[in-house]
Amino acid sequence: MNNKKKRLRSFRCGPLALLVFAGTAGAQSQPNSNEAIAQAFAQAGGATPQVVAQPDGSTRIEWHGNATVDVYGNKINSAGGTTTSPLTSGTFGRSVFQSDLRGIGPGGDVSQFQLGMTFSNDRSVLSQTSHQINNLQLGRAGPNYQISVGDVMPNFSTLSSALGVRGLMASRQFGNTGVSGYTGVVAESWEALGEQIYRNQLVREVYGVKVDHAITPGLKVFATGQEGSDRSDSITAPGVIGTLQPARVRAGSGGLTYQDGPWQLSTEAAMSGYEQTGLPGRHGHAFVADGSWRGTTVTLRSGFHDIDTNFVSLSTAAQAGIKEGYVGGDWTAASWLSLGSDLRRTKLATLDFAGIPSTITRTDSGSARATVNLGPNWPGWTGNLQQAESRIFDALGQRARNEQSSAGVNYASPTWTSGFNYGLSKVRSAGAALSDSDTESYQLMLGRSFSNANANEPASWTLNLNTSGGMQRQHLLAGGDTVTTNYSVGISGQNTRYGSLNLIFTGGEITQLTGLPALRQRGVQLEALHPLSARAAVKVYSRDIQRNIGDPLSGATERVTGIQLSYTL
Amino acid sequence: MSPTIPTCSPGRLARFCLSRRLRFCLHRCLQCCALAWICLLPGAQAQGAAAPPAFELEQGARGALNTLIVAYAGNQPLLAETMLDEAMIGRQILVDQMRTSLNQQAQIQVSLRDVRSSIGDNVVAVTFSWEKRFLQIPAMTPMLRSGRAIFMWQRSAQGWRLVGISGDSPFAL
Repeated sequence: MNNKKKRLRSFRCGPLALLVFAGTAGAQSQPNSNEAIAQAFAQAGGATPQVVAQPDGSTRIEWHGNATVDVYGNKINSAGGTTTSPLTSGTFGRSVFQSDLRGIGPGGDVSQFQLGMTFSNDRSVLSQTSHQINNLQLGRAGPNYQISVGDVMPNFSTLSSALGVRGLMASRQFGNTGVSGYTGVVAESWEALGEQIYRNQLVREVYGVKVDHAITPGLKVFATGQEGSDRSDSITAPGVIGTLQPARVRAGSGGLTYQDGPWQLSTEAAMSGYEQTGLPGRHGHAFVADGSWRGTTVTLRSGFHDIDTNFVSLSTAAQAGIKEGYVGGDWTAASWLSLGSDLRRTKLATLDFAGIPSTITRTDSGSARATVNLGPNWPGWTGNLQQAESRIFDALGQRARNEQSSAGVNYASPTWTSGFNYGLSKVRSAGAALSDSDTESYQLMLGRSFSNANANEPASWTLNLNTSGGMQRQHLLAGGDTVTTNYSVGISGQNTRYGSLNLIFTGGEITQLTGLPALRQRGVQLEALHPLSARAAVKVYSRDIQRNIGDPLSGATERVTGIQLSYTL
Repeated sequence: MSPTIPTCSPGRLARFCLSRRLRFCLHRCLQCCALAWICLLPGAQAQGAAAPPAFELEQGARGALNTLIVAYAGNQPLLAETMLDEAMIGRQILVDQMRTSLNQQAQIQVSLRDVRSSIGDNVVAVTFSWEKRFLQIPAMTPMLRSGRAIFMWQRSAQGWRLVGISGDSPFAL
């Protein structure tokens, strides 16, 4: 306990805390408020911060964070250059820093400062710069308000605003009514926004507001309004300047959510306006409704989405031109049998644009699945069956069909694991008949675990041996087969004192239709981790992968050796 | 040479007042004031304001993204489909993209770079650049595709589910 207390950081003592969280920690202790907030963390599914009441009445919490530093050398030999390997030869470094600092004041307010950064000179990690801000957020939340600055994520609803914004977001609860708003910009990164690197996309200024009102504890109605407008001269990448015309988006929506016992329903209707320089403006509409009923043994769900091709909003989830409906359900038919099925009809329309008429593609699809638990007479054994099929009718009247079937049986016990899976895939397409094929696949795995665990003490060491092998045969209806085989053998051990060791051998080959020699793969990976202290560890790793050995076009050899130091705050 | 001293003429002042930059500044100040005003008004009802640690959310979403990519590249489309939310708009379009590309591409490798996150309440938008390398069937020609995408992940009782994709899809042909 003493050691744990030493690791804690007091918000009142740290200079950063003084800067960021001034005024959050008071002299009066309110353990009940703190416990309530901690319970809220737990209910939300997050790790609960450790709140420790001090003799003087103040509160301290943990500071989560970690830092890793990697130094590694690459030796790459790639026949196709960057086409066959993302890596380049050389010695590189990479460090990642993540911090999550939170304080809970006596009044129940939560202050937070989150920062994640990556530094690297390896262009396969950071393509344009030697450092980047992964995420940055500073905020404060109380019993009835929340305000955040930095990387914020307004998630008003499916059709309105659901996007990452660099800016400010705030929400406030007034009785049964809540008000949320945000303002900021959508940019590729902080570095692009600060013009440290070229901008390839227009910077979009956005803002939005949402008002929701709870009519009953389970029924809530809401309305949203948002707007986004591109900065006309914000692209700085030389080859991209002038290729994108600025646009302006306006959208408004209204909807309701209902949740009561087993019932759940959400529905929303929206309208939008879109203006782009040099093009006529367009207006779109959208409607979505999704519902579910969750009983003891049965879950049913259904939904309908209709998004106009002209609809544009600030939501990542709203895909224009989609009209679809679906029904599905899961049923625990018996203690040993679970069944599930989904049916869906989708229509995808393209935008009537620049004289090119709209085209429509229709898809009917369905899936069924069953999981069998063989019960106490066969402990550890499970089986599963799955079938999925879709039929596609494209704009030219051509048909396509995708079928996927799989069956498997698995066994798991404290010392043995095993599994066998069979899959069959059939793909037919009138528009790409040369690719029509039937593909069979088999996968087998076996694992064995050893340890010194007994009824009185947990294991101080474990040893795991795993092997797997697979074969896939693709029969092209136009003629010819390709066969892909693969195998892996893995050994891993862990000791509470010395750390862990993982060693994996892989291999396989792909036969070619052209009669050329098979493309062979081979690889070995080694990773050894040793704890230096309760918070620090060192890891040594090495990887030697050879793909398509000897092939003049696709051959590649990647040898990576490195060391990593990690430290947890 | 003496430095040029800007003069304040009525015309210059009018141009400044009508300039886009000033209007933008005023607009943005107004928005910030409105948001601050919302937060400063007296609230009426206590509500759980604490959110899950962003640290955990970001790691969860990135882990789900890696799992989805590995399942796809490992030719396990049925496993990848289980990570797509049933209510995802255009779900079947994405599923058929996966199945069609897996039928025509072998030895798929998808590498991610410049990964960033925006974190909300149980929602994380992961932005990244991707490169996809594969052998084109039947001639086994090495190919490279690249793009930039935003995947929006939502944490539910069933785990992390993909609820939206924006930008270039790495699962397309």
